[in-house]
Amino acid sequence: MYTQSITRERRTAFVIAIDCSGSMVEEITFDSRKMSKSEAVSEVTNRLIFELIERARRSDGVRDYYDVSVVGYSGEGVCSMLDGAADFVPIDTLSAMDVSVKERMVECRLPSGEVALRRVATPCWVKPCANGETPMFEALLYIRDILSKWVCRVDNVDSFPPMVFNITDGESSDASPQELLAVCEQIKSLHTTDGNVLLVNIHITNSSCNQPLIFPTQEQASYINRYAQLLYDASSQMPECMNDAIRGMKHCGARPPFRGMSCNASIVELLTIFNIGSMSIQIQ
Amino acid sequence: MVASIYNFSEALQVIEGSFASLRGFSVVRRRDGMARLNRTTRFSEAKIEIDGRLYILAMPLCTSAIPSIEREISRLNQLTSLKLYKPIILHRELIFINSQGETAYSDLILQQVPVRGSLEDAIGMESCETLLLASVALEGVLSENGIVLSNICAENIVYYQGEMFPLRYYYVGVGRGGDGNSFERLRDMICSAPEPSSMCDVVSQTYTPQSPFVGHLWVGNCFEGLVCVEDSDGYGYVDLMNRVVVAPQFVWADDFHEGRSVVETAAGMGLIDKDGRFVIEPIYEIVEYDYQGGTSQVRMQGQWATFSYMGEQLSEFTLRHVG
Repeated sequence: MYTQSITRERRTAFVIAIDCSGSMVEEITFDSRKMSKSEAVSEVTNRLIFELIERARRSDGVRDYYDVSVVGYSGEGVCSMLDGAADFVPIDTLSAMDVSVKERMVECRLPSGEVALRRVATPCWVKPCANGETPMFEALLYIRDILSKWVCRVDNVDSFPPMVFNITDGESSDASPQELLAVCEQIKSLHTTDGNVLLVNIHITNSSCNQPLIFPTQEQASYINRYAQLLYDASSQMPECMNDAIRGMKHCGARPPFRGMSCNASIVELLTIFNIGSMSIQIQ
Repeated sequence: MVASIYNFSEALQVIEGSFASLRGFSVVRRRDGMARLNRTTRFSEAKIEIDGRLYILAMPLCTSAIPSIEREISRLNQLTSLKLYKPIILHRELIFINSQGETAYSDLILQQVPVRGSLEDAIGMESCETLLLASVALEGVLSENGIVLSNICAENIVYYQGEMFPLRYYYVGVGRGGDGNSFERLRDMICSAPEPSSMCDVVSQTYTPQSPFVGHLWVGNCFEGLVCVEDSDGYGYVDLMNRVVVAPQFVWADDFHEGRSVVETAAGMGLIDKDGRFVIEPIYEIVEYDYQGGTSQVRMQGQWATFSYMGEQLSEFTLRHVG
């Protein structure tokens, strides 16, 4: 399980769900900087998309290794965050879209020991937004439906299973925790012959979790508030074959099982586990 | 710890403090200022320039990428063959902050690119016989030194004046003759390519145009006597003798039409004349120059205005774009 090559013949899918609700205006510390939750969410999303595109890039251009869906949920409902895009966009199409470049200043230490500011450009497919309610349940139903269709397509039956990144502060307004857990279970029960859909929750929060945290174990769940607890319970348990790689990312003493979740961390490292485009996926 | 490509890209923009030992290098960039990256199965690559020489700087994409070849690379570096531009492993060279907020390190591989001419470019320019001889010579050098590269193909070879040099020792191993099948495929490809064009009465002489535009990362076409080029400092213009007319400095530059060209700096877009003087200051989001009408549509904070050929503002900024 989870060993299928990710190639143009056996494509996979990534769904990035973004909480764009009004609560995302709150300020947090992310990546050692003060910013709003919505800015943190857009940074996480743009890094994920950048990584997905660059991992599909070869000398002949960006190869069509996977479909990507970016779904926003806010007071305006549930919709694609990629201008005019359908449910899924092939990665080569996504890479060809017009995209603005956002610049930010980063501190760097010069050889002399002095600290200097440098400008870093990052492509910006998704801009920060925060508006109204949090229809997370509706968004998860939408994701369940588009993924149900995706895994049923003949070409995708044997593919590496899709992954869902849900980036949120967890404060859903349209369903009870039980209802949210139920739809998450439905998403996680979708599968290809290579394994079940992996649901990864990226929790953006200003409470309790002072340090960024990735792939928490049960013991590390002690930081958890009620929203985080819900997201922890809703997240996939990471497959055993990925445990060694995850231990390498955390620290060697970390003991599985690990949850597909992070707290104020981009978790882009998860993509480094997959050797996308090689002859065989290698969990190393 | 395996760094993400995002980490690598960010480090190549900041440079200071992001590399343990590499200093004073420039990065081959895209027009938007970001590093131009390429990916192989196991490495993400950028091209950098140190003291005018071009190098490939490669970051591993999985933990086993470097351990699987470090013994062979160490052995390779003990060889004295001048025909091989050997890679070196820079341990803990890339310094980055992982998503848990911790400082982390990644090894990198550095290899000089001996010449800028790719084998793919040479096929069709050089005679089949010359290329075949070069491939046999390279195969001999590898065999003589007991090296198997396992990734021989036109993309991983550069060619210069009758010699081939391999790039990307990412699967290097020990042995003799292990690349035989790959060399055969390479020769098949060389033989199946059309011969270079030649005059009907000069069949033995190959035509190799000598471009004067050497020393640039990219060379555009000639417009109004000026050629847009990209150097490590950015885009600029040279004349037909490759003399600098407008020094490379721009993030992006267009071709000249009717004595004007649109350029982009870090501060914004503008319009220059053929001496490199700004006719429209580079402070705008977009400059659309219509060389037939001689006017430019200029956007600032989402609003558009029209400027004359001489750079005078002809209309107020409004939401309406005059197409």
